[in-house]
Amino acid sequence: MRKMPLVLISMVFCVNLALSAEEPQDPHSLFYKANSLYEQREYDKASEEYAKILATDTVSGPLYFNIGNTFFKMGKIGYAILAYKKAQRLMPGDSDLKSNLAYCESLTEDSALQAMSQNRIAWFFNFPFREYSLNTVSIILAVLYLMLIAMLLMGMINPLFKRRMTILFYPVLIGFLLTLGAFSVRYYSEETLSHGVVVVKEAECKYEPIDKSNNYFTLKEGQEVLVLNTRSGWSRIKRLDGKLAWLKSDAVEEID
Amino acid sequence: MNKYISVVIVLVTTLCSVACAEDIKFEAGIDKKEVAIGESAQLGLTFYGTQNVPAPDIGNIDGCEVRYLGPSTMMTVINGVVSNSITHMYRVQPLRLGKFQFGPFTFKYEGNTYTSSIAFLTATEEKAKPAPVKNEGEENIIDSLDIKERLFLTLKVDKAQAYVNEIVPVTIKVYVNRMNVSDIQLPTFNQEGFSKAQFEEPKQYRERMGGLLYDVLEFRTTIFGTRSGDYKLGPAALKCNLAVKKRVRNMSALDDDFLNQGAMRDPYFEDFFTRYERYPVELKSDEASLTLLALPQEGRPEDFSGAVGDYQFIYSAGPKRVKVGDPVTLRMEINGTGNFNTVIIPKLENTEGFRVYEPQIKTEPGKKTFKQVLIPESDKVYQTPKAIFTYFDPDKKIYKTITQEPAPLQVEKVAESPAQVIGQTPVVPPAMPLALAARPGEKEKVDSQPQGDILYIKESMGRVRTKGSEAYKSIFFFIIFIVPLLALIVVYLIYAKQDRLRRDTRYAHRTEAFKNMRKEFFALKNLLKSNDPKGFYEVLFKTMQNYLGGRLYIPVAGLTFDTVEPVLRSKAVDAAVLNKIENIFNICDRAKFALINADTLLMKDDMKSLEEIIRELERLKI
Repeated sequence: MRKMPLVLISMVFCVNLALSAEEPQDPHSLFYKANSLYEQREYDKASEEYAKILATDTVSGPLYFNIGNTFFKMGKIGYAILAYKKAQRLMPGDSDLKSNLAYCESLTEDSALQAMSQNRIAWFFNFPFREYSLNTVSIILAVLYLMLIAMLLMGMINPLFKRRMTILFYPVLIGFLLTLGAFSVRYYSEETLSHGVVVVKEAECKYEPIDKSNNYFTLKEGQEVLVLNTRSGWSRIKRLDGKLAWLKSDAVEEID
Repeated sequence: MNKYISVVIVLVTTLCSVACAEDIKFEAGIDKKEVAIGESAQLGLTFYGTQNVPAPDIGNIDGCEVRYLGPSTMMTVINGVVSNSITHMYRVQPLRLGKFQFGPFTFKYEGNTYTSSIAFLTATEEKAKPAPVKNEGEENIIDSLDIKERLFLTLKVDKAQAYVNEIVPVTIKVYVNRMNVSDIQLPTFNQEGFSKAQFEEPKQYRERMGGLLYDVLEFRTTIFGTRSGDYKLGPAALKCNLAVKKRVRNMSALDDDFLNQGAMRDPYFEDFFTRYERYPVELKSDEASLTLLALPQEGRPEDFSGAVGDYQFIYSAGPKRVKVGDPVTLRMEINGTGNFNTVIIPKLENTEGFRVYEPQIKTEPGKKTFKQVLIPESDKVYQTPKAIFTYFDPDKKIYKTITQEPAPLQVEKVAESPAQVIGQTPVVPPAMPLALAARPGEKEKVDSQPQGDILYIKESMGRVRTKGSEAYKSIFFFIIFIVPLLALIVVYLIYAKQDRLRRDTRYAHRTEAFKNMRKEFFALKNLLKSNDPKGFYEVLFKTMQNYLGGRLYIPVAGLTFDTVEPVLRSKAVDAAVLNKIENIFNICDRAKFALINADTLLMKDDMKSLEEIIRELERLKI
């Protein structure tokens, strides 16, 4: 019984090879089926259905949101936060998601560390785009870039146009530079760094990747860390306040 | 550069003057309360607010040997406020039994007199100490018995008695006296029978206790109990790492004797031959007692739901004018101090004529807000329900009831029949999704579910995408950036060249001359093939004229070697090139009047000569 949630969790977050042999199912019908199971409070079964959608390589913000809710109902706060964080990357502006994530995080002891980890430069660039996903930011960047190039080309070809477009050119240029900054910051954070969430009640972090090593500090379920590398079942992690330690790899799940 | 140096000097001077302008405090402290005869303790005389005070002369202390060890300075920056201090350390060794008083010391500095606090030291009989267990090559300098006085944890409950559900503040303090402690984790304590809130941001300050000065880290939280009785809280436990100074002794016995000499016992050398090792330590406090009293039965209102604290109740409703079937939102805010876990939605009286939905609950520090959606089912409704909130005030030990009167409401009929409207799905504003956790009976279903509010699942899958199909991961994204950039560069180069041709006449002539020369070269090759010396030399002459005219920006008509020679000489053209140009002009002149009998070989040489001239002139910056 104790292992049951772990089995379900592995179904959700790992590629289920067994499913690939089955006939492909429509993600939307699976989604509605999972939702109805959730409404009937059959959370275990609902999570199985959501896992089937993930196995088809299909993702969406609402899907991860619902998975987060399901884990919350199952009492797995760490996995709920993990799913919400995944959803946040796809729909960062969603108010329901913000509310649920904030509530789950309030149940952990991570808030002080979160505050420590905020970088002012990253915040400056990210602030105007906090409601948009990295994908949307990249599209905005491409559009502004094309506008900028088009304006430069038009200005070269037609000097009269150049004079008229000066008023528009500088706002577009500033917008482009800000978007480029936001894209760089977000890309670094989401694609280069490997964020993880502690998914066990308490994770002992050690100085060295061996069982007998002294404990450095303890992480609580739901706390966010940076996963630097993994070796022989141990992950080297960086806490949000910059402290480095080793913990068992199965205690932390990477957001992406 | 000088400007920046001046700015730095001004800043440093300002900071120094600010530091000097601080009030100076003078305190005395000692690291031990009790020593045996033959042992020593360290007396520290600390001046806060300065680092420029010399060592005070504390004179002779009767029955005690005093030796000055040296100064130790410290600068701390907390929230941008800089504070300095200097501590002059003395080793004090009692020579007799008894209690010694150090201070108050008086010290005059820059016209001001400072008086220190007092520190005490008791000298006891010398006791035979067991030989300490030492690791080979190392000596543990920290006395383990001393740690308990210099590093300890306290647990304090602000009240000895409290009511059930009443918030009780709990303070846990870590006291550190001149020890290197790091990686302090959040404390834990036995709280069986109580619910605990999260710890607040820890505070750091200094506190004097029993003549010793401690660095204190204070953790605060609150608890509340749900059953009356006598309880024991704690002991509180806290994990941290203690940096212990180790002295390395890898040397021979002779070296050891040398190290034990007075000079090598100096703190400077001590530091040099020591290193720090971190050891995990778990501190434990004493237990604390707390009695929980049951809430009084006397005067208990019927609708009392368990709220304990001191609260205010704010009530509003909107919109005031709606149609049948439109939602009306009641906003009820309970604020104040107390246990918000026990605060539930105020009781609504007379909800007849409304369809009532699950409320949305939001808890913030110091307040809890309830948004209750009501839908009027007929136009016969004229006011919102009355709201009643009852709580127990533990300070005044009485029950209180706050009643909010109904707000007037104007409900209009709609064209559809009311039955149809009522049958529709209720219209709930998007910002007010229903809270699942508030559904009755849910807790019985899943025991492990944490209590609280999460918003309901999404009905639609939204924008579905395949994993890894993000725009910025596709090759097209890079093409979008590279291709327009290349196009821009190409257009820019073309545009820049055209612009220069328009603006720079010399450049335009030169470019034109080179372009024409290339065309005429083709003509020369054809004439060479057809073996037409006259035609060849005519074109050669013309080519030479056109090129030199364009290159040197002089009129082509009537251009001869005499015309170009002074110009080329002024541009420092090589004499060999000038000779070649002269030869070409001469040959062309002679060919014009059929004075030479040119063959293909000669024509080829002349053409080659022209090529060399042009190559040479193109290479030069004229």
